[in-house]
Amino acid sequence: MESQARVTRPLKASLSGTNLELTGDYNQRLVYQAVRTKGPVTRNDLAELTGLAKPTIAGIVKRLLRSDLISETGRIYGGRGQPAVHLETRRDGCYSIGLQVDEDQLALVVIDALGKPVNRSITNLPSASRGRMNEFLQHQFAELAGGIRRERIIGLGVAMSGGIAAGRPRHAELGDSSGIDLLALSEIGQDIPIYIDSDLAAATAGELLFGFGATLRNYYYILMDERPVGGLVMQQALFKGAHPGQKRFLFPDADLGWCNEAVAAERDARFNHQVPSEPDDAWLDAACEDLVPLLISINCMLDPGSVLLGGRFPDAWLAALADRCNALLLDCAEQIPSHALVQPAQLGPDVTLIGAASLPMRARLFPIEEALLKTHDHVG
Amino acid sequence: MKPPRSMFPFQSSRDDVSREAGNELTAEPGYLRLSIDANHNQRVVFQEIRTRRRVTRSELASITGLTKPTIVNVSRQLLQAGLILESERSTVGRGQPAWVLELNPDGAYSAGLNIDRDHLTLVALDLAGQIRGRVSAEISFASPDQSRSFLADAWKTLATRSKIPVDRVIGLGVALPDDLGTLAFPGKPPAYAAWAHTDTAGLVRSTYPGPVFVENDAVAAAIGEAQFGHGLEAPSFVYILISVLLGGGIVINRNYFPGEHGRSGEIGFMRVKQQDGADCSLQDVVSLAALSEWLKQRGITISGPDDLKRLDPASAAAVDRWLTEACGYLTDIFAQIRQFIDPDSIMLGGRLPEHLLDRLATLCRERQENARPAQRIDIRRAKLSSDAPAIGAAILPFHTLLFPSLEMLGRS
Repeated sequence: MESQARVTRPLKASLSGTNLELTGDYNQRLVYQAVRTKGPVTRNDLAELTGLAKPTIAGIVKRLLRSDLISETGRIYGGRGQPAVHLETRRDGCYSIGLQVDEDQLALVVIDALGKPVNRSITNLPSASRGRMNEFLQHQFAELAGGIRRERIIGLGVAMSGGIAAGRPRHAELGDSSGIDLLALSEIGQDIPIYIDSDLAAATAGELLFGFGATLRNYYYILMDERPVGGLVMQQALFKGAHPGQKRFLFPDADLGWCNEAVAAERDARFNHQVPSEPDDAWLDAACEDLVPLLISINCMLDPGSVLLGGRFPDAWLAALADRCNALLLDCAEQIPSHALVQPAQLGPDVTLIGAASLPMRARLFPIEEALLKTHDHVG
Repeated sequence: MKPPRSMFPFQSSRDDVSREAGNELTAEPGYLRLSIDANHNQRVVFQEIRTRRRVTRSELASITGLTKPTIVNVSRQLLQAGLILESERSTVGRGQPAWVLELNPDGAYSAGLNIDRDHLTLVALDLAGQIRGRVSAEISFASPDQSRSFLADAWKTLATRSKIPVDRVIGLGVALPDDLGTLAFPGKPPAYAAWAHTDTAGLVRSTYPGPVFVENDAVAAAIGEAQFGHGLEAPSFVYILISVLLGGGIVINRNYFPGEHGRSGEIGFMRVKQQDGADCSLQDVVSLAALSEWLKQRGITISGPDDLKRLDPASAAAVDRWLTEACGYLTDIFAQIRQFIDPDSIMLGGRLPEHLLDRLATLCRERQENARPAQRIDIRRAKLSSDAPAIGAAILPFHTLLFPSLEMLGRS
């Protein structure tokens, strides 16, 4: 279920000169994420939040401070006794790079430890040979990551809009996203682990780290695009299904007017630096006609805690669509056992890009089950 | 940020420790009080012994990654509890002969009761998952009182006829459809609404005082299938239970997925379009009740699923036409399931007789031949089909009390 590092270098090798490597230490991941989402927090808060013993917390905090992932902030006075030291995440503690490979464009972003983009570039795919494209990627990468110390970059995450099966035939011509040369990627980021996954997996990773994801036990995520895709996220991991290398579209119809319209509205607004127009009723009707039957099936089948709508639609359109869906689902509430709230995802139209950059952070810093399974004799 | 419980399977809370203090046998009158501790190591070791059949302590240490002293300790506890047996292995090499550990099938038993609108079934399983006793009665709309007395009688039958030492039953699972009392259903007597206010666990206590686990029938069937059926080959599947109505259970990566409110797998409520264009629930057209009604309209009366096993040629042909129609509805639903979750398999089970389930699976597969590869999905009859809810219910106590939680449903 996890994105995997596709580099020859073993994942466990530590980064030069730092102690960023938390792989395998579930408790460190747990504490780091608690500081990130709840900070500023005291060591006592952390013990309560994580259920770990205070001496364990003290040891982990010491290591996180030493590796500059977190910092101590002002003491808060007022109570009796010695004021407690508060801890918070260092924004510059680590950086991650995201690359989104779409049919029509390449986008690169660098995010800091809090998920804020510090630098980004979006480019239409140059109509050139793959060699030229690699050159272009290297150039962009150097430019974006130029001001950042190499050892603070924890990885490069790549979100592919197509299938990601290995051994898929590659075509040099444009429009095939698998034409990105993975070898070239590892060249641009030497010493940087690369995590490749689908756009949906990237989007859900982004939502998990920097959106609603971590607050929901399970949810169904619909990634809007010209052809929407979706998946169940449970225990903070996307269930990729029996055919993870195959792109699964939610609607078999290849030409969905309402999707094209919304994607175009978002693209135009971004291009012209304008606020996108509000969606009209006709659009909402068309969208709901396709979406509501699907939502009924998803609710019957999966009983998710929530349904999140994210992706390349304008935020306002997603919000309006969620409202309309909720109203329509309420109308047929008697016919189905339960229905979950539909809500717009927290990350905006660039969720896949931010999500791509979240892949390394999720894999290396987030308390995922795999980190737990790597250790032995973990008796409480 | 309190991570979900599943994130901390290796930590035992203080409560757990005190509760499990007596994990040795305490033969209370009535039932065997047995639960191995939640600190996971006992469960992990037990799971390895159970699935590998015969294994030495050194092998266990290297498989589980636990230290040798831990293994020695844990296996002693399991031996004391009677869950495993130890025997000497004749050695070929030099040195002391190694002791092998193996499951003791008679170490504990579990019982499963399936309550449905057309029957009541009780089964008893041993620790190896073998069915050691079965009692069933075709009763339409059995009331809570009838169910209570059925259980009391069946329990005695297990003890006398099947020779189950009922005092070694560590738990009773009860599988029944959701909304048994409230859901409108043709032929439902008004008294049946009593189920809506019945405490199912309380109902069985007069017969069995030990731990009781109540679960949806399709979910129990799915758990049973995952543990003892095709689940070993298909880590993620949707189990479709064709009983009086239609239910479903979802297993993802060998774990039952309950959904947010425990209402996942409600496939019977998915909407389908009828030939006249009207909307209806899938279970209005695909279920034993729907089949019975469909046959009635054609002058064929059946009183229970057993009648479907001995039909005259004309009736059999009618049933086949119904299956073809049902397959049409199911194909649409399966295509949706394929698109939005993509499980390894869809398994058909329930009280429809096995040869009809096989026929339905074949029809569905044939229908897919014209579909694009991206829309195809593996469809088969479940290995545990007719008694699946009762067997699944009987597995629930083993699960909760003895198996490790992270890999709840075992492994291949």
